[in-house]
Amino acid sequence: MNNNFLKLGICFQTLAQVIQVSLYGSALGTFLFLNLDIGESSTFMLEKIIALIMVGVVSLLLVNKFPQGILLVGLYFFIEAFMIWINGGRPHSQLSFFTHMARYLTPFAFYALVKGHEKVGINLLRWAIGFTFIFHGIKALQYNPLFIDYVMEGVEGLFGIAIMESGAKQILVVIGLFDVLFGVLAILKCPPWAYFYMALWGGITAWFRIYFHGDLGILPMFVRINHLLIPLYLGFYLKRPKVESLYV
Amino acid sequence: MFKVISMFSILLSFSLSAEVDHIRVLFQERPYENVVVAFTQFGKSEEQAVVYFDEVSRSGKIDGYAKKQNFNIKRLYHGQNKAFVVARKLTGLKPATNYYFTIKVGNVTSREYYFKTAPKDLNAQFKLLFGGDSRSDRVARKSMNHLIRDLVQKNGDILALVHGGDMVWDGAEWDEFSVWLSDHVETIGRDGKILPLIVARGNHEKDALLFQDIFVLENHLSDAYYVTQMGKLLLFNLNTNISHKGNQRKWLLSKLEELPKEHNWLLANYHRPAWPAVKSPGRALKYWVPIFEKYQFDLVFESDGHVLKKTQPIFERQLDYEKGIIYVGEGGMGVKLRRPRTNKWYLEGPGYATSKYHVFMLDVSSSKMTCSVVLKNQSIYDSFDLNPRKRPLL
Repeated sequence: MNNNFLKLGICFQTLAQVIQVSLYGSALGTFLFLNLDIGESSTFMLEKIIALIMVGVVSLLLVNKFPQGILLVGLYFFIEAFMIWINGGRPHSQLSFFTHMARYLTPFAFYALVKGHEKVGINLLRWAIGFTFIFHGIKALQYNPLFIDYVMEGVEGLFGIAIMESGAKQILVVIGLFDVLFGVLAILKCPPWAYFYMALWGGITAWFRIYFHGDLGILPMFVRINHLLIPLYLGFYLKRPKVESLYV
Repeated sequence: MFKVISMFSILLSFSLSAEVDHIRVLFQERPYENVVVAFTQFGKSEEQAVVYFDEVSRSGKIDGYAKKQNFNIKRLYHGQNKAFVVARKLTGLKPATNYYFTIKVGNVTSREYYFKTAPKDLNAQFKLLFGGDSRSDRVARKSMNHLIRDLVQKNGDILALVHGGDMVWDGAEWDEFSVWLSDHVETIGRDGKILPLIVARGNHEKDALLFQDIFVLENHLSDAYYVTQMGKLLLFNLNTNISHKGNQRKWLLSKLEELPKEHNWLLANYHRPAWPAVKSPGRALKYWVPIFEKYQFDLVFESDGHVLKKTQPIFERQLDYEKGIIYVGEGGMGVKLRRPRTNKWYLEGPGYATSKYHVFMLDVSSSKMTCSVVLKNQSIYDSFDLNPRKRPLL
């Protein structure tokens, strides 16, 4: 299985995150500044140093050098997810540890795959996309306010029908149930078509950031690129031609 | 002997505060006739709480007050088992009138407090304070509360404090609110003058039910969006923690159509900025700003960024001195201040963004509105005037 498009996904995700952090700061910076009383100039400096390291790591990754560096990328996204949870202040930020799994587990999975630990890598990818779907589904079932606006905007824009908030909530229940169902399937055992459905949905929801926010949605879309690429990878992985043994 | 009396007074005051704590007055929709009085009661008590009130001071002697009403809301704060919110909406009040009141629970009677109702007269002159984000720097928060108390003492016509949200770090924790409310009591003047609160919900007030309990947002106010009418001013308090496109936007549009046209000062107050000085823009930019522009709002209060900012007058995403709306605030009433990201076009002159603790003071009359920025050291950082707009679309 060719891992290149997973690698590209990780690179896009990391670069988009780095640019976002340089524009608006990071959850880690907020935590250090507000909780640990570290001066903002120091946290800005730290964010820049981390950003440079990340850019360096993905650049080396693109030329197939220093594969261990990708573990730093995973750690970076893990810390960010953890800090969003600690900082709070966003609807459902307490779920960020799970909703961000596709971001921080993919680098670890990629490393396992390039090191030949195929089973570990594939399982990590299944958990990453499975938990991401399940907990986005829970957000939908709990009527995340951003999702309500997305659904209202999406239905109006795509089908020309203006729906009420109550209608959007009903749609969110269906979306949430599907997300949870497919998330569970991804973790347990999933046929390829299910992964392809997840790729389609993951791609649509990532792209919707641009549809909804315009230019401001470009970076958030790329941060979520693995919602498309992981299930696509897993789908093709299951459909790959099996090597038959010569010693049957 | 003096020491004994002092000790006795201190003990007495503790016993009183144990029964009637966190006293607060809330302005919601029509504060010229309806005002909510609320307090916290710790521990279970079967005693009926009663508010005695009058238009003249009775120095806390309950027999002298012209009116009394039982508190009709009493329930545990959401998620609590010992602290009760006790509240009563006082109705049928006279506009622009001082009301003196005392609260009695069982044998305990509070000291006398007073507040002033909002004016209904369209020509009335009054002042409002506005600020946000008082969630995590308690020392600064208390300093700002003392500043507010002093401002109210010096400016008898300050009606209320408009809070843009983020009172506490974790809005699901009653203990944090309890401390915030204890600190808020420090805005009460030495003469017992209470500064009423007009609140918007911030992103850190994550438990909607606890927020409703603390600020007594009942029935149709439970989603924490409402319009406060004072003289010629309409203040739309919006909630950036819920859907922006759904019911709230529909309500905003319907209110703007339905409210009387002579209210020529239109203001909005919400937490997450459309035109931020620090973070990325919230959904207010997409869903509310076009409405503000269509109806030609005069001024918009935003919080969240932990800085002090004033934008250029903005209309259709450009500087426009005629139709543009100025967005002020970003929240600096008791939280560690951030460094603004000043590379944004709308923060260039005459806009600005800087790291300063502040509260805005709005001086409203029928012909002019003056907005001043008061810093923690009581100096005036900035002041600008707004004239009434022509609103052909209203």
